[in-house]
Amino acid sequence: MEYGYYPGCSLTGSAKKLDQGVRQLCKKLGHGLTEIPDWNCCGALEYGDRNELVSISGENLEKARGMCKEIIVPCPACYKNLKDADHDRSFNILSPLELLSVENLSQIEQKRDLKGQVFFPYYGCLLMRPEGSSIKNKNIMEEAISAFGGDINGENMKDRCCGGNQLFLNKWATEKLSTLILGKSKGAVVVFCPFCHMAMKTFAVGRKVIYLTDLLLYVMGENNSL
Amino acid sequence: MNTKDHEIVFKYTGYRREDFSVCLGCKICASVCTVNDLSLNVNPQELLMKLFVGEKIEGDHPLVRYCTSCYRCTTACPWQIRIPEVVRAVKESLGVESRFEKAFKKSLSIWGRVYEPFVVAMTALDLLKGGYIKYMPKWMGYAGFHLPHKVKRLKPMNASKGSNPSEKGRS
Amino acid sequence: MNILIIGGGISGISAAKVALGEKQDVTILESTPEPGGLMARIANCRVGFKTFFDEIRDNKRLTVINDAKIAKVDKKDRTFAVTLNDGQTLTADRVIIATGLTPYDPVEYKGKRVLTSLEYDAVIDQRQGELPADFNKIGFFLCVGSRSKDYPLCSSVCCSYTLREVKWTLQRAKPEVVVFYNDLRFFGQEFYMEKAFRDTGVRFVRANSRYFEEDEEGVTVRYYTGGQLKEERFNYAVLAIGLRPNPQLAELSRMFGFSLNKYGFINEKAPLQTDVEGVFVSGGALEPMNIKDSILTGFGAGLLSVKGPEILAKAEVQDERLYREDEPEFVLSDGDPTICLFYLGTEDPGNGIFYEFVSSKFIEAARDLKKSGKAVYVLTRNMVTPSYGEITYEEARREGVVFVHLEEDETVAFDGNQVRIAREGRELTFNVDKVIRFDDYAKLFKDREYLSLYRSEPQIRWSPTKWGRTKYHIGFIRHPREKRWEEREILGALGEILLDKEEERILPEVNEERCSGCGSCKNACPHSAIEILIREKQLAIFGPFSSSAVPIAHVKEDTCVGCGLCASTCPSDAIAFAEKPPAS
Repeated sequence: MEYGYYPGCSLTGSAKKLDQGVRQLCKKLGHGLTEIPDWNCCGALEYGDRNELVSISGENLEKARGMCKEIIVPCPACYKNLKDADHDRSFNILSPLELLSVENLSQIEQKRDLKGQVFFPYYGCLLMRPEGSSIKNKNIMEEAISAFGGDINGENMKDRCCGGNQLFLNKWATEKLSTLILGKSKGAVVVFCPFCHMAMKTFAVGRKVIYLTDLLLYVMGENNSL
Repeated sequence: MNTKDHEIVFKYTGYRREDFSVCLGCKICASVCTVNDLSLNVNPQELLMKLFVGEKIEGDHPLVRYCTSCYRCTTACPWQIRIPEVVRAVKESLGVESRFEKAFKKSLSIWGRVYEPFVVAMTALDLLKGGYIKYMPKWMGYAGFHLPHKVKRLKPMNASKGSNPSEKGRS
Repeated sequence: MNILIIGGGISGISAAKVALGEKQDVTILESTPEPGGLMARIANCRVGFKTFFDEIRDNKRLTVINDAKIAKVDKKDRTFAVTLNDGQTLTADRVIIATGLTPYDPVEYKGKRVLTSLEYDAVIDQRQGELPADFNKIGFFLCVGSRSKDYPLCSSVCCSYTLREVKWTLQRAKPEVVVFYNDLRFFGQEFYMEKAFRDTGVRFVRANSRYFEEDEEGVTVRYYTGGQLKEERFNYAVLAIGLRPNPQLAELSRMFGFSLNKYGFINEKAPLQTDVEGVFVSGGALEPMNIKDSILTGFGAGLLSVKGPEILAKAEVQDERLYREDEPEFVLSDGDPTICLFYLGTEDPGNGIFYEFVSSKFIEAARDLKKSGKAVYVLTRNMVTPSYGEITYEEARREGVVFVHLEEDETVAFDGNQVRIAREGRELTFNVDKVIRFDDYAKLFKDREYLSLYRSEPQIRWSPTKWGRTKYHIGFIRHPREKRWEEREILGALGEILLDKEEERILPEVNEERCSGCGSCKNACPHSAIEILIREKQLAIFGPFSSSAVPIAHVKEDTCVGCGLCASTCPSDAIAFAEKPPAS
């Protein structure tokens, strides 16, 4: 299937890996992605004026109008903002996670498995909340990891906040929140959010922090290491 | 802040006064608030009450400073009140944004996107002073050079918002 | 006449009773394997339901179809042809919708130690065996799944039910109990129960929580009170889940053609009637209500189905057995205050019964004042606006009436035009022109102490309205509450009167030889059915006749309901039932 694609600012810079992963994964699953031309920033979490935020995010939808109805948005903050901006629900805004299901995962040509490895699927906030701009299947990461034999833990912590947006404002806060989450979970941290990735990466000691896309590509034999 | 300033908050959030006042006073928001994981003892319901009765809110209120926009309060709130958006509106109307947030908006007004090297450059001094240098080894994976993309079609953005907030919320 | 009742819960069975009593053919459709509904899911009510149902179970005019599902409804002239999924066809002249309420399922919070109130019910059910070994500390959390954006009504019964669960818990063990609440929506004597539990150490906290972190040993709960975030461990957290309309109502509404309101309950065109002729409604299909009111509306709908809606207008409305009193008039104020403050709180549990009435009066007055441009504050210790009352409360909040919740340890001092709220570390002062206090209002109810005897459970043979032998309380006097209930109560009482006709009443008799006239029976009688008369009594059999005036108890036949409280309190066995069971 063909989708519009909105990468967002982080994915052109610090979260380039997520961008590459999503593109590669979509290709594997047989989906085509067309980047929305001349897209602009969604406004992230930095605007106090909701009208302004919505008009900034909404501009992207204007650019996509007539081009596509379904837009893939990997970054959770962009995902939330674009969903909020789409008042009349004229678009179907999807996280790449919503392209995954137990069925299509089972069709993946599996080159490696995750047996004996422990993972902590960590969603963070904006994929899970608030209601109305959250993903439907809130267990998809667990389902994906289990499908390939990986062990899951940290269930209670999966939607707690890492404090990622405080990292450059009050880093002690991010440290405390991330450490709390890391302390109550084990194994490699599997994330989908660029902010979570950065916070976890910064404060995890001796633990891998990976995007789910990279994990799936590893299983498919596209990546050689985690 | 006086009641008139609070109207700015209502305007910013797109909330009407009555959407706030539907708050039941149950304090469920406080029970789940992430800021309380930081032992800062906050109660978002009290902030709403302040807005509603026109009481002054200080810029260094821990909720204003530390809200992580996690939306746990919204999900648990019986009335789904989007407190993080209220907090951001308060923050903006008080003009207490950090240099990081200003740099972010500045980048948006120049290119229409966030150009990370620019934000880093603008906040380099803070990063140095704040002791972020020790994380650099872990952050190597995030680095990578690319040129900024200038968005051609852009909604006219009020650049003064980030740089000169003192003009409003202070009348 | 064929009467079809959809729903075999307490309300449907109540309706069936009245209709069967009037010699009609009744069919009950129950969607589960057996009648019982929500009431029978409560361990301590199961037996009660069974006794109630057993009275009609074998009636030849009654058919109960379990596991029934309606496939199709055709309306021909004035009859309904109802086809069930198994192909069976029924014809009905009148239909009563009694589908009851559906408990909310809080999947987002449930766990092994975070239980819904119904799950917890099974834990403390004596018939299920021993209590769990770690039964030391239990937390109750009110208003889960009601009074919220997706369901703005108050479920009316969860507070009362929680209070019962506390009672049953304490009957079996002595764990530490904490109740976290927004408001305590009790009715009548429940306020005395609350007081009694407080005195035995049950803690009530006016703050709610949704922070439940569960592990193998227990649940960590966070809540915010007294300006502090608190963290506390519990063995079990019990969620008082809200009650919502039965989802099957939507389909029934399509098939029968009656309309639903935006909350999913039936639009009540006239008391206990849907907007389709011949289709009546009772119980939880109307709004969230307790068992007593489900019986009341069941009786009423049963009556309507037999006699038709005309009955309200007919002479029977004037039935002298229906008893009501005028409610006291609430005069708000003199002068022209610009800042008004209402204080909705009382220390006297006996005044608790007026909470519902005063809450709605205060909200009404506060809204009027707000609309005329005044600043209005309402300080609340408790706000009792059950069911649709919550919508009015919500509107008042949206209109800008400021409600300030007082926590348990906060004190209020009234000093002229100043009202000071204080607790440790905080003081809040309001300068106001006018203060309206609960207790000033409650004064209007002086000499009506009997109101505090109102109990939300059905008393005396399942009677929702019966007070004395010939007195059936309706309206304000039955229970001070919203107006819409009054006509329902008239219908319910009339239904109850019909049922009473057949009952044989057994009156206690006084053995005048034994009676010493002490008056203990008189004091015990809840219905003032005993008077002490002065009788001439012959003192000696032999010798000159001499007689003297002595006091002797006398049972007033028209008032006595035959409850037997007098017999059980008499110290000399002088008052007893004529037909005593041989065993006693």
